[in-house]
Amino acid sequence: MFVLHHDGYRFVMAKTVGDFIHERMRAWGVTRVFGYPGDGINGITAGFEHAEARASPATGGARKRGAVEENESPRFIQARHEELAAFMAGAHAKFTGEVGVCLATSGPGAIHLLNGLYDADTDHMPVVAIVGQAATTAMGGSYQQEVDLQALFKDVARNYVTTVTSPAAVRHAIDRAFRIALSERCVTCVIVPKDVQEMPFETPPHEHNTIHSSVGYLAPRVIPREVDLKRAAEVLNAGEKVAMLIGAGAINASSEVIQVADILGAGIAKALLGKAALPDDTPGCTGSIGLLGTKPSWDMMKNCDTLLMVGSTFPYSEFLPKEGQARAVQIDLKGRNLGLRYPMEVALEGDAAESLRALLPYLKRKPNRAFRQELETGMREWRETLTAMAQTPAKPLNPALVFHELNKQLPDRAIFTADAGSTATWYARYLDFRAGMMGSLSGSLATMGPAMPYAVAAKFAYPDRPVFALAGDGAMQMNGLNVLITVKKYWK
Amino acid sequence: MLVLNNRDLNMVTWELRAQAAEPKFDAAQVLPDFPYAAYADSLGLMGLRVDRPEEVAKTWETALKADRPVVVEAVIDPEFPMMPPHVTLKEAKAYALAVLKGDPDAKHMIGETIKTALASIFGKPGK
Repeated sequence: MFVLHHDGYRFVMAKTVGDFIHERMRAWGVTRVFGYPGDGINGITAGFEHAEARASPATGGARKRGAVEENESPRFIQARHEELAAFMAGAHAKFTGEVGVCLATSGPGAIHLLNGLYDADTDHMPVVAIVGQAATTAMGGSYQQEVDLQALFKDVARNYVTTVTSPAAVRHAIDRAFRIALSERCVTCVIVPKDVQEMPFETPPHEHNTIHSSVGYLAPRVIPREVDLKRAAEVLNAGEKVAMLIGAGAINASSEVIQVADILGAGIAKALLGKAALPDDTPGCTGSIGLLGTKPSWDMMKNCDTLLMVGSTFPYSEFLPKEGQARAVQIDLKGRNLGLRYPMEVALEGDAAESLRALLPYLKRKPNRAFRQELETGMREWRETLTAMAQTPAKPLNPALVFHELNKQLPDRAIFTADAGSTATWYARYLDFRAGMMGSLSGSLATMGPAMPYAVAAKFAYPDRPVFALAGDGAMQMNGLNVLITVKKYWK
Repeated sequence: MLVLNNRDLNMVTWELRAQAAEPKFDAAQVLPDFPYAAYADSLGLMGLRVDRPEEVAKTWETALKADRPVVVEAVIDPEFPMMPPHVTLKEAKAYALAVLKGDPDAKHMIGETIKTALASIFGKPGK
């Protein structure tokens, strides 16, 4: 539908719902939307095209590579498959802290998104999925490419999924999807039937049955109450052998973790998603934990009398102390993650950095450093084991050697993505992270296929930083080879 | 971009061996070979295939200096063991059982596996 209106001296196209969605995403600070086109979202992709044409009218919308005008943003990034677009949106959130956005057409396109959305959901990433639907005039008619999208997305986007059936409802649908994704750290979904996308946008009138929403989300400061911090400090001060386990929630709490561990004489193990939360050469750091972890992490958990868990939902209980072995304190931004993996004596809901900072004044420096020194000796021996393992002959190459040699050449500020499978083990054990590096993989869903699309999203977000995608041949054959075509399309 | 080419769905193969005491099931586990580096070249990217230990360091040097995206294809041994940090008796037994049941190609690595297991348990190889 083309709607013309006169703006005083010429006829121009009225702003459609599709145009408004683009404009509103810009207001939310979105720079990139990862997607794949389809006729169920033509009215939305037209919004991107109109914005590009407005940004570069002289060239008919053709843009110099890499030069993105501010009023053209967000830009449409074409993936090879909707699942890859969803992985990219999740990775954008992981590496930037911003909300990730993906766009897919009705029916098959929407179904393809699912695995990538579940990956974002299970790793608590804010992602908004915008999907097309059959026209409102055909909905409920078993029309071509019509599936029950509300039901399809109801689990992965359980916090918010809505279908926009009126141009006056699109504003609050978009606003709520972004705000809920950011405040709940979850996946949300806005379904827009194709005829609605092409209708002229309507600002909701000031009357009954209208919603008046706005843009913007400011993350709060979340700190436990002082009385609870003191109780936590009592537990930690009473212990002789303190083990810390940190995860993705501690990624911006590096200096606080170091200070707390120093005062407590604690060792620090890192869950896989928290690999970048602490430089590996930090005193007392025992590296990764779990099946793909280190022996000192294992020893620490077997021998500790106190556990401090920060920003982690590390699932494997056999790698944690036995129930009753250790008194335990946990800090997590989400109350629902507390007391989940080990019985906690004091479970604190709060931001990792803020809460640890608030805890510090109550902690007493432990004079006995023996526990930590033992772990440091253990780490030196573990590193020798790793080197010996990497030098073991194999036919033809030893996979550990490939990572051992890469580790010697890691550039500053590098970003790593790893796939599920044995690759994740070598990534976990052999790469020593330094301050300023980033790394991620599919932590909770542990799906195959994220390494390559994650790397593409990382490179878009940080074009000047070296990005490494580490994948096995299984993941490459499943989807990585197709991502190489996306790399070819955009790398220049 | 690194591709570990071992023609095997390796983690699951090791899980079969260590947890289920089952040998590698070729019909499910073996992957077809594919020329990853040559494919990267065909796209105008850089492909580097490495299958000799003495060339691994040099390959990374070349990759890090490249003027374009690089695919490093490392041809690796599918039988190199995936060892947990602490090898329990139960897992070692399961592994031995899998080999006895006639795992098609695990035999040549059993020596390495035991060596690695000892290194994991005692901290230093052979100590």
